[in-house]
Amino acid sequence: MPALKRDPLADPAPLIRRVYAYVAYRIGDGPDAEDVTSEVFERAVRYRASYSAGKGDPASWLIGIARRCIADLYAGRQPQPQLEDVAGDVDVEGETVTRLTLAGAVEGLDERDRELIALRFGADLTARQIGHVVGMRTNAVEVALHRALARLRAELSDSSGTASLVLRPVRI
Amino acid sequence: MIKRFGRKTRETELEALLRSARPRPSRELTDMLTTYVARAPARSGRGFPARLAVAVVLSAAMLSAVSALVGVGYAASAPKAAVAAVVAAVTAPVSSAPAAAPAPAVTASSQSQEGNEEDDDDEPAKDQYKPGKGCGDKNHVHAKENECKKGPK
Repeated sequence: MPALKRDPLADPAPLIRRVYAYVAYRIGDGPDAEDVTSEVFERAVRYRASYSAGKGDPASWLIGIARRCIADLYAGRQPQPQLEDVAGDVDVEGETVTRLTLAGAVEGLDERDRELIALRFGADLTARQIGHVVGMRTNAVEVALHRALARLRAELSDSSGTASLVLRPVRI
Repeated sequence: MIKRFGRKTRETELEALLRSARPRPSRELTDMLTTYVARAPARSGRGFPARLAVAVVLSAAMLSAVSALVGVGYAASAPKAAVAAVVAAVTAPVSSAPAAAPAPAVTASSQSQEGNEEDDDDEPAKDQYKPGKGCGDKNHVHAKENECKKGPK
């Protein structure tokens, strides 16, 4: 019975990092990701009593809330892809270039691949936890992740071979 | 084999890159949310005990209802029945004479109907089966000389 009384927000700092990374991989790093992360924790505090440890760990529970927040965000705004040149950021150091290149490649993936990449490498969920969140079998998640990584690799090789063009969603 | 190993290494590097270069929240956001969560009222844990209390109350109500209908009712009526039995046993000799009177009267009346050939044995079948009743019975006893036109076969 103590599992049922467990507070999902007892140690919030690592959860904040995981949720933010997931959200940023989904919608892009920046103020929007911060707003969505804040909204996630506001809802989590409000519905803290409804958390049940038997249905999953706190990270999975928060990611479920984050997915709804992102869906609400997309329902209000429709992002339009637009070409943007990252070559203007050449003066920044290598780490930043790597981050931007990676972020651009992730944004170039389709919605499902980006979701899986964000859940696996942003939220740090296991394949089993991802399957629970998105309603897929663990094996199917592993296969889909493998394919998403292959496409991401192709995106990265394309962007490094050509003119570093990345697709970024622009708000209307 | 080497090609496959190299491919695997590239995948691992990509995964490591995705983990190491993943977006991080600003310190301000982390501090603000940590403070917000800490100041928010913690979970009261009221849900489970409330449900438990409802379950206990319902169980107690059902138990008391069942025991009142079956167990306690039977136990309460047992002393009353015992007292009535004792009273009947104690008062039986005083009122036995009028109560026992009808029994010999029944026996006497049955004996008068069957005739004097029958003995006074107390077999139950005696009251239910009376042989010799009617002209078709071979054990029929003729009260008059020409009572039956044909004799028994």
